[in-house]
Amino acid sequence: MSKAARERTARERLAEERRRQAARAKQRRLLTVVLGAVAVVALIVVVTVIVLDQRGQRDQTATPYRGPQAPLTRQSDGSIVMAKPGVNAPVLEVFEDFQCPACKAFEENTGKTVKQLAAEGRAKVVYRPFHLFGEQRDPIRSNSLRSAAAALCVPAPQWLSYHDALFQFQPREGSEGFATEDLVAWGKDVGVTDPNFEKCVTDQQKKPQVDAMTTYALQTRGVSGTPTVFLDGRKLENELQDPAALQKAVADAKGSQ
Amino acid sequence: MVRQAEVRDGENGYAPAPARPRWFLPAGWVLTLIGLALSVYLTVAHYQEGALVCTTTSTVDCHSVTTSKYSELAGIPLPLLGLAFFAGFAVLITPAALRSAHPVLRWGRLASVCVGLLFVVYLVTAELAILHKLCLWCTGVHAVTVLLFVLVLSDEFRRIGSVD
Repeated sequence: MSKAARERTARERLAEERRRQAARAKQRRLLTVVLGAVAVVALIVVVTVIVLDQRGQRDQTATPYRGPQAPLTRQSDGSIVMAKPGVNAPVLEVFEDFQCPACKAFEENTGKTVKQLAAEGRAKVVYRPFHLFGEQRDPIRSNSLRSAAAALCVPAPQWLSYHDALFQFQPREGSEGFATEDLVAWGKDVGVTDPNFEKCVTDQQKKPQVDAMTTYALQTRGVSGTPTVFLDGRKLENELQDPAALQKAVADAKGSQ
Repeated sequence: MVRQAEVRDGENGYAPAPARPRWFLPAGWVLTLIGLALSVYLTVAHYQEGALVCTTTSTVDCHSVTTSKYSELAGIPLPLLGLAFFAGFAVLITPAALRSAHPVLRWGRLASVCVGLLFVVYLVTAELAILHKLCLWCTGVHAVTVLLFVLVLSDEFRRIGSVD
């Protein structure tokens, strides 16, 4: 082999080696850039998810209700009766959907009066939550169903606290809310210790009972909107947003018995 | 031959792709089809709550996960996003797309699996750190996504490491 040919071969080998080194450098750069960028963004994602979750939890902690009330019992049909022992009349029935803004307004204006009437033995209160929004679009429909099914998992002693929490944290109509984990957490916040509670809420075990209560409200009782309140079977109208008028209607009903 | 390849790819001005290992295409397609199937199932289960079959223990509970607020992002159900991801990725690994050396396809593959991997990080964080529940079907999708990330990254690693 001539000297020129040997030099050419050496140059080619050198060039080849340089190409290899350049390729290895590119490989290292690829791994560094891709894995580094993914790791940094992944860290940001993890921190953001956890921080947002903790911030969300602080905003929505249910508190046990400690105001006036009468003993609570769960009926076999899923309704909750609140009445002092021996008080069987007049019967004040409250049909509500936890996703319904008018029900939230009713609870804010008149809910305390309803509890007071039961606490003072002036009425037997029956809460009949149901799934009014079955024909609505999601998330209104699903929010309504999840909350109604969850409320039926709550033992009677915690009912008022949970019921109030659902209205307190009612999602704005049309937005997502009543997340399953929140529904579970609020139950624990207000003192539900039943080990089956979480599974009951998560699996919507009470959905068949919600359906039955909804059929009862819509078909048997002819309820067409919420809140609907019956006093001894008579549908109340103006009294719903007027606590004094409600008290008078109850007093009148009691007087007539 | 080299000249022919240069002329052929010269239309776009990109270097030709060196040959891939034979297992790349079947591996990519098997993973993508598994991902697609799982996403279709989870999408159906998202809209028909009764369709989800899953064992329930203290840590494994699909329902808790698929009905949590983390099952949607900006109002879009995550199984639907997964479906879009695997359908898009299937297009990116068609033989024609793999033959092409066009950078949009190469980097599209890499970028999509990186985004997929970040979604896995997001969802696993939600499962482990917040919900304290695991959804086995979702874990299947996560595993497929991680394997696709490894597959695409190793393919790109091999490509830029090739001297010829």
